[in-house]
Amino acid sequence: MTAPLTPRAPQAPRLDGGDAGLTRRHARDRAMTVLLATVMAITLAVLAWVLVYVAAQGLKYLGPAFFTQTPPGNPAQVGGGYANGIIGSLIIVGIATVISVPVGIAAAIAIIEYPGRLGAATSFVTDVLVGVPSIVTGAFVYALWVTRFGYSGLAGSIALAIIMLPLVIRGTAEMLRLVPVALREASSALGVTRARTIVSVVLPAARAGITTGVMLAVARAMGETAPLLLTTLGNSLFIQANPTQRMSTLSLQIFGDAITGFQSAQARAWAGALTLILIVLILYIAARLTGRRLTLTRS
Amino acid sequence: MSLTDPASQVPSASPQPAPQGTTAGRIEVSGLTASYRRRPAFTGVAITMEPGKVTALIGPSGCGKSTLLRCINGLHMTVPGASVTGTVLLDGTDIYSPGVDLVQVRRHVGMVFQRPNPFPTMSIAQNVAAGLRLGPRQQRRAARLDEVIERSLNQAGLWEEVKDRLDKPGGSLSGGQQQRLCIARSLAVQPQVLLMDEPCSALDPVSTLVIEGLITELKKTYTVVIVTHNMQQAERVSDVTAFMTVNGPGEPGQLVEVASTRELFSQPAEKATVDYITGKVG
Repeated sequence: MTAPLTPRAPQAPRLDGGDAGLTRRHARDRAMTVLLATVMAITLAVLAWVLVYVAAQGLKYLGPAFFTQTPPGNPAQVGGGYANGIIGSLIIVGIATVISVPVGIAAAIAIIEYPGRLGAATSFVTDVLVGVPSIVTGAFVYALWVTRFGYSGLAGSIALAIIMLPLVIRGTAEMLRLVPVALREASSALGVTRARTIVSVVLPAARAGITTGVMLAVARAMGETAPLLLTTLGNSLFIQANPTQRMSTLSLQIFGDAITGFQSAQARAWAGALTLILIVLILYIAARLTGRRLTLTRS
Repeated sequence: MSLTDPASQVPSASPQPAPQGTTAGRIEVSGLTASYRRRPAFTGVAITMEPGKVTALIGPSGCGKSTLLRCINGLHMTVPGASVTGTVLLDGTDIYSPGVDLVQVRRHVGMVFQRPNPFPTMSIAQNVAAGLRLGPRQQRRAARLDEVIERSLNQAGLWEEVKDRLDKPGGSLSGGQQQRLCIARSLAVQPQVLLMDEPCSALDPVSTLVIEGLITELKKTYTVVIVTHNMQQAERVSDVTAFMTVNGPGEPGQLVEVASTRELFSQPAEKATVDYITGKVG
């Protein structure tokens, strides 16, 4: 038994801040504010440093020719560009996106909208897949695909799709979970079927978030190198736009040039790194803009 | 009216009021018990809701009045673990009998919620037309959307305020306007019954009065059932009032009495009703 609460003894309230407890609380408040602001500043500084450094190094070499030329046959030579890598990256990641996004969104819908055994199993497999190192995925595709059909852009796409899939599922599921029950009920109450509610009400409401999730997966795939070494191998000599053949990608070219030790090659690698960041940025902005236009004009 | 055959549900171009004097939209609830994961929210409820009248459900929090409302359009069953026993007859058809599709039932029994919930990605016009656009294919093709949108917004008393900005997002309206938009959205699918779950509790007094005036207008065409915490509101808008109560937390709710609103507030038959409406409990 605790004593019942009774009103405090009548006393003029102190509003001047002279109370020692209050002073301590103010001090703690200020200390925490300073601490959090410092941590945030450090985080932003690291990010800014990476961006500025890559931009500074990349801009030394980046020029129009970088987007139209292939690298010189001898990496020690100055000049040339990553045209074949840019085309390869866009094609390989494009195919991987086309494979992984529909499957990933469908899996996220299964997890969130149809909870049960299937959803729980999908969720578990997703968590396991997230933790698989990308080189292992590359080795898996090597064993199953490359040993039979040889190195190709398509094999790289399959490996990247497997890497993107859990990211798309997680990002989408997170966004679907945020869509209020009230919207689903409003749709149900109009006599709209559950499937139609998901397609026409829930997914559009989550569209911006899903786009962000997909773009994170795309960005990750753009930078993946290890699985591509085992699947598409690279092709630095000429522009190859046929995904059934060996292809180069930006990440492979950056890797290849960065490890040579030649200053000329490393300059190209920095320019390639900056290009990679720019491509991801442009794709992200484009995706957000199209998403918004779709939302406003769909009739 | 058929609840099982969507093909026969092709509406005319505009939300046509049910002809005067018909019984379309009569709700008869009997022996109804609704549960969440085997835990009953209320037991043994019997009540009839007549077309052309407003039935108010009042009672303290947790008495199951919202759940009762959600049983009338089967929305209760969309909650995982939910179940019902007993019958809910909509014009003589038990909506919980096998072979009845609850999705189809909801095209006859519309619902307005406590908080205005327009679809955020849709314009005002698209919100109103949502039930038709997302409905069965036959309806989508047969309906002349522009007319339905104008008719429904007129019925909800919103047309004059929004006719020049139908392509603006539904969320750009004020709270009271959003709630009337939700009413228009429900009316667009031409239900016979309109359920309202505390439709004014998130609104300011002026918007509340507008909605109450609207309810009085709508009852000429629809069976209206309204859950409210506000007894003055029940007195103002309803013809029949049902009082529900609950003995304690976790206990199932009970329907105490149903009477004409005037009678229930002036000469309640049960002591529990007297205590509640005089403010002794709840």
